[in-house]
Order: sequence, then C-alpha cells, then structure tokens
Amino acid sequence: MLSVQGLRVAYGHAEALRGVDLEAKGGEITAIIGSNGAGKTSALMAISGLVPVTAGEIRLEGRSILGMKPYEIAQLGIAHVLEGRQLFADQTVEDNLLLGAYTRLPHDRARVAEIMEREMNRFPILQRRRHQFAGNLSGGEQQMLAIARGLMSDPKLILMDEPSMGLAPLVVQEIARILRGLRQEGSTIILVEQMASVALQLADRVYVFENGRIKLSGTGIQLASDPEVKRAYLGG
Amino acid sequence: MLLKLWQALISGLSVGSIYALIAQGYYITYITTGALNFGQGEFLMIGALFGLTCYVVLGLPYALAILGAVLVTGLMGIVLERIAIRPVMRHALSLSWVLSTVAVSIILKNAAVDLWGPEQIKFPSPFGEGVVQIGPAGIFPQELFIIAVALGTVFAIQIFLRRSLLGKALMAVAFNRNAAAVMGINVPRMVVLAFVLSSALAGLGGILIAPITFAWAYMGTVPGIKAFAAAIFGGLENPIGILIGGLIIGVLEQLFGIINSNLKEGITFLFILLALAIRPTGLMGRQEIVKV
Ligand SMILES: Nc1ncnc2c1ncn2[C@@H]1O[C@H](COP(=O)(O)OP(=O)(O)OP(=O)(O)O)[C@@H](O)[C@H]1O
Ligand SMILES: [Mg+2]
Repeated sequence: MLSVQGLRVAYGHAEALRGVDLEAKGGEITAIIGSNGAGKTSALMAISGLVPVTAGEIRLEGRSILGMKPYEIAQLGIAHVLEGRQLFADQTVEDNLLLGAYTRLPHDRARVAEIMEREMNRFPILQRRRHQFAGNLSGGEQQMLAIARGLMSDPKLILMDEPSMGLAPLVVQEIARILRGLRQEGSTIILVEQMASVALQLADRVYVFENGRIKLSGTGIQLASDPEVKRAYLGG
Repeated sequence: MLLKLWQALISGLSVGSIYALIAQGYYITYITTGALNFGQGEFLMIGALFGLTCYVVLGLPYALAILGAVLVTGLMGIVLERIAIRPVMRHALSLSWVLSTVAVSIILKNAAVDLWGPEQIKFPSPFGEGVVQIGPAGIFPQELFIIAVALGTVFAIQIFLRRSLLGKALMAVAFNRNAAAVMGINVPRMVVLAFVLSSALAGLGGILIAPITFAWAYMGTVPGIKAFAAAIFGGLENPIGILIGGLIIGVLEQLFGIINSNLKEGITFLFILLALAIRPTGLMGRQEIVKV
C-alpha cells in the first residue's frame, strides 16, 4: 500500500528523520513506536505532505506522492488523524465530520450521509453530541471525533498519531477495540503510539524509531518478546 | 434638538454600517491569515470610482454598477493576495504585510488620481435628491439603502461562513490550517477567497457611500482607519462585536458632529482611546474558545 524509502526530514538544521524505510501493507496495522522526539510525528507529517521531505521516496500503491500538496494527498485517499486531535473546536461535531468528508463533497452527498451514519454507529457518543461544539467534548470524546473525522473520507490508508494520548485506561481500551474493528473491516492503518503495549498487541508489523532512524522492526509478537523492547518500552 | 439627534442617529447608522462592512473584511483575513489589508480604504475608493464610471459614464443601472464594483474589487483581492500577502507570509511572525498592504494602498491612490483625477466627483444619488420623512426628520433614501444592504451583507457573510460547506472550510482553515489541509481543503485557495471577500466588501462599501459623500482618490483613508478602529474596538475575532463597534463609531461621530463639526473625528478617536484603556481587548473581548 505505502512504501517509504530513505526518508529524511529536517527542520532548519535539525534533522528529525535520517533515512527511514518502512512499508505498510494493505489490510494491516503498521505501528511506529519510540520515545519522545524520535521522529514518529515527522514521519506521518511527511507522508501527508505537511512537512517537506529533504530526501527519499514515498509511494502510495507504487505511485510517488513526493512533493504533492496535503490536499492532493488527501484526495488520493490518505487520512491523517493528527497528534493532539486538532479538531475544529468552534464548529459542531457534525460539521467536523462533514469536513472530514471534504474530498467527497459536494458531489457525493448521499454517500457522505451514509458514511456519517456508519461512524455515528461506531461512536454512539458522537450521535448524542452531534450538534455540540467540538471544543466542548471531553478528551476521550474528542479523540473519538478525531478518529471518526479521519474515517469520513473512506480512506485507503489512515495515519493515526497517538490516539491514546492523555486518555484514561478505559478509554484507551475502547480505542484499541475500535482499531481492532477497523482492521477486521480491512482498513489499512499506520499507528503511532507511545503506549508500546497497546501498539504491540494491535499491530501486524512494528517499527521502533530512535533518533530519526529505525532501530528495530518485526511483527508485534516478535517485538513483544524482544528483551530490549521489553526493557525500553514495556517497562520490564 | 431632538430632530438633529434623530438625523444624526440615522446618518450615524448608515456610515457606521459602512465601517462595519469594511471591518468585516479585516475580520475575515485576520482569522484566516493573521494579516489585515491596510489598503481596505483604497478598495472602498476603487469601488466608488469604478462604480461611478459604470453608473455615470457607461450609464448602467445602479444595481449593475454595484455588481461591477464588487467584481472588480474582488478580482483585485486575488492580485493583492498574490503580490502583497503570499510572498511575505512565509514566516509565521512576519509583519511585512503591514508595509506591503500600505504599499498597495499608495499605488492604488496614485493610480486613481491618474485615472479619475484628484477632484471630488459628485456621485448622483440613484434614489433622487429628495428626502423621505421618517419620524420627525427628513432622511436620504440612500442612507436607508446603505443600512439595509450593508447590514444584510454582514449577516449574509456570517451565514455563508457558518452554514455553507465552503464557509465551513474557510473557518476550518482559520481555526487550524494543518487539520484543514489533511481534510483535503486547498488552504492557499481559501486564503485567496478570504482576500477576495474582504476586498469585495470594501468595494461594496465604496459604491454604497459615494452618493452621500463624494467619489475621489483620497476618500478611502479615513473610513479605512475608522473601520480598523471598529474592528479593534469590537474585537478582531468577533464579528458581532465588530458590527456593533462600527455602528457605535458611526453614531458617535455624527452625535459629536452636532456639538462641534471640527472636532467630531478627534472626539470620536479620543473616545476609542478611552474605551481601549478601560477594555484593552475591545468591547466584546475575544470570544473564548479553547483551542485543543
Ligand atoms: N516544527 C518543528 N520545528 C523544529 N523542530 C521540530 C519541529 N517539529 C518537530 N521537531 C523536532 O524534530 C524531532 C522529531 O519530532 P517528532 O515530533 O517527529 O517526534 P515524535 O516521535 O512524534 O515525538 P513525541 O512522541 O513527543 O510526539 C524532535 O527533536 C523535535 O524537537
Ligand atoms: Mg509525536
């Protein structure tokens, strides 16, 4: 589905990514874990076109998307659930979802209405909060909305940046359940997650980032039993 | 005396609604880019003079002249964004837009003197020179027309921003550019749209006000500054505050005009200084929406 080769990203003189290769297969969850500042967010932003790439190649279904504008990349079917939710707080839940389907509007209204119902069923709380301002939702509800908004375009590939950030354990479990459900539906996801235990459980393949490079990679099961991963990311 | 007050109120509401119209333009570009077009007054002037050419020289109906003024200033908004905003907004904290928009305003003033001459030109009132009797006073129909059209437009813009898909997309860009971009919204194009709307609002203000003032190359400077005062006074991110701010400034200057017409502008600005000293964030302050 998506392949990244030799990816480099720099902010001024500071290099955030120094040559990263990764592959996300269709129908799988690919997880990226790593400590703060390892470059996880930068990798997702490079894929969705939000930060310029200094070197390397990014291909979606074999076709290079390098140098495309974020809105063009979104039109190709890549959705990005940004770190920290980034909702349109002064607009309603419904309008946030509508904007999530922007690439299908205005020509595909009937389909968008269907997708909106689908997501409201997946996240019943959004149905109840439909006409409230996104800024007035609780942290967990906001994360649900951010995910639902990302799903509104029926994307080929979903980039998800730390959906568990700042949430209570129960809500994290709820989100993990939803991600598992998405995988069963056949969605392709690249999941950035600080909570390595969650990521390792969910993911088909895991990449461990460190200082802008890939330190380790393997299946979730392989890495969960790797002594170094256990020590550094699983707290024992 | 009562008669004068009543007249001042209506005239104040009509010039005030022009300030509100221009200030709405400041609001739209401010929320989307953080920049204001300090040439808004000159877009007003172009709206008036281009409208005058359509109406008087070409003999078009007033409605078509309005449309022409709005279209021309709207198109000029595209050029403004391209030459004075986009090149200088590459750095987030750049203030170069102050200089670049003032530069455009000076160029426009020069060009207008060259095209239309430096004199004040009378813009014949489309509703005739008579007055209508409203309450105790005689009011120019144009003044009522201005209030209706300007306020109607301010409300229409708000409905556009809150209800239409395009308006929601513009508000999304204003609130969070990155999030808007990954939704598939073409952010640079929305910024152009913001400047088109803003410029067209000023142009509309120009052709509305010309029949009660005069049309000439230097007509825009003072309304541009007063509209800026209305925007600051009302709270730059608060469209309702801006509307009220514009109306208050318009009415105040007309009321002060009864007392002393030489001092009316001075007293109006003194009042604004006082108001800002008491409430530095403006009349309505900032709408507190917590960004998450
Ligand atoms: N806009 C920016 N300007 C300058 N440096 C940046 C910027 N964004 C990120 N960086 C730097 O790039 C490096 C990688 O940051 P990035 O946000 O990609 O890490 P991350 O793995 O997502 O971290 P976290 O787990 O804290 O979210 C860090 O050193 C960070 O300080
Ligand atoms: Mg991050």
